[in-house]
Amino acid sequence: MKGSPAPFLTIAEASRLIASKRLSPVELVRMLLARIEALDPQLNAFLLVTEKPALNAARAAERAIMAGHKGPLLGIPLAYKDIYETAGVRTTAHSRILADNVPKHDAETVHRLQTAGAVMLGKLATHEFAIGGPAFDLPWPPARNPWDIRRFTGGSSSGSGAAVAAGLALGALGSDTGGSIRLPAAYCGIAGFKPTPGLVSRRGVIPLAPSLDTAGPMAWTAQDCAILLDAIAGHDPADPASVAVPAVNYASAIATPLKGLRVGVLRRFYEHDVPASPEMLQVMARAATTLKGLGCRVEEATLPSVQEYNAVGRVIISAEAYALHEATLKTRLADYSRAFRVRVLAGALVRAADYIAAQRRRTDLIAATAKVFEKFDVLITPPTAGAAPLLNEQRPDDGFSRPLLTTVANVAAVPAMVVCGGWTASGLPLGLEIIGPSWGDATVLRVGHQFELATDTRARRPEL
Amino acid sequence: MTASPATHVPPPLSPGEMQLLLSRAGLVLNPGQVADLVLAWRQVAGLIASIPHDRPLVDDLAFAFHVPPPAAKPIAVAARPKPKTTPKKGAAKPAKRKQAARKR
Repeated sequence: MKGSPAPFLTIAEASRLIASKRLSPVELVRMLLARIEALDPQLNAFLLVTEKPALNAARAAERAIMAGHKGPLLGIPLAYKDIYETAGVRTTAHSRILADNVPKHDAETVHRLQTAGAVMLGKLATHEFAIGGPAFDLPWPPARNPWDIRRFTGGSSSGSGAAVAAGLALGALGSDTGGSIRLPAAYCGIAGFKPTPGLVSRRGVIPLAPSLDTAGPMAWTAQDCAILLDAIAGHDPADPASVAVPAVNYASAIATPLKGLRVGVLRRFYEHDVPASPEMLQVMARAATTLKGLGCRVEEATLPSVQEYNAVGRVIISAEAYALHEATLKTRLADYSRAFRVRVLAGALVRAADYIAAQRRRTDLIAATAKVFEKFDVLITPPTAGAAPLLNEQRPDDGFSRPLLTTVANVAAVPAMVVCGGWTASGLPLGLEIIGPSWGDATVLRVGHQFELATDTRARRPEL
Repeated sequence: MTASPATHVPPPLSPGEMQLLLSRAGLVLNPGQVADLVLAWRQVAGLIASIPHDRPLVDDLAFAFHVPPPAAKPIAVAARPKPKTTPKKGAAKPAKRKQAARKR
């Protein structure tokens, strides 16, 4: 195999080059390991780099290619948020509590990716147990934003966002309970996809709040997310929430043009509930224009307020996260970060009646959201009010005090993705969130992909 | 169907009430941790207060679980297309880490 890899490749590009033997998986992995060594000390995206196993897997992939095997992920280097269990490889959840935890099995999603020939580069930073961060009182520092290392990556899949944006991995796995895939995707200028609950197995993913947790892909483009989703989606009887639905080829489905699609703009969300910055308002206006240009019918849509979804989501997360950690909190309280304690300990005081009221209200909100999808195929909104804030401006109680636009899709049990929607004047990425009805995953990915093709947001990479 | 959130936020817990709740939960916190919890709880209490609690009893259907009937057969799932492989005779298999035992 010949050819030196370019510093930035998408999964789709690398896959084509590898399949045609113009790119060696070994050279690709070597290049990425060198980038990680050079750049990660300022980004802190990786908690662990699995150099030797990565090179061995790349060599095996190369042998398979030379022997005639093909596959969209064969030889593709990926990295996993450190809440995904990896057999024989330390999995910490970015916490002292699991500092020495070496799982015996891979998470189901990791297993599926490895089986498809993907190469694991290492384990990625997260907020502690996917909620407590960014924190400076843990054994590993928080990840930093490649577009400006003084800034927050978003969380909790912070290392996944940073690694993909910086070109340290071609794709990553994240998890999303209230926005943890889509927020780092927005702040880091990449694509992140939260699937319909039940589409992707969560077996072997350390839980935060099981009734809201989802696992999903993060990559530079929506197309790459579709390629990753093709590998990880599918029924897993060992995940009680997994649903047996007919398989869809997402990477093919996204090619269909958008003509005739009904797009609802959730204007009240970002003009009233969580007021957006002037630059984000411009991104939304341009997105509506772009989608109209692609043949979509774009109209205003209305859902219950962001605050209503957030109240339900936050109460459920507090109660469930506390329940999962109660025993350890009683014996190793000081080993958790302050941010984790602030965000989770309040769950000790949530009464069962309050938790059930939140679950019942969630059912209302799911129904109200489904009703809106009778009129629309997808909804669009900003995922954040503006660009990435400074890392040192983050407060431990942010999760409660500021409602998240992204939590709407978790509470409503629908798929959603963030793609890069545009840029601030200072060059920071601004996201666009696309929300679909339950099991409308392919449509969400299709809108993200066609939007990316119609704009120039994928032409810019961070300068590091 | 989408009731407006209530606006009543309960008064903050007194130090004595907080200690009582903490002891019931079996948690021993230092004063700094209690101060953090008081601030966090104030936020969570506001969220709880915004969720309607006064639903009619028949609304219990809104909090239900789906249990499949005993005779129900699992839904047939179309075989997921595997990565297109065209192995040559005697070719090495794609990279795959040791996955012999995957019983959980």
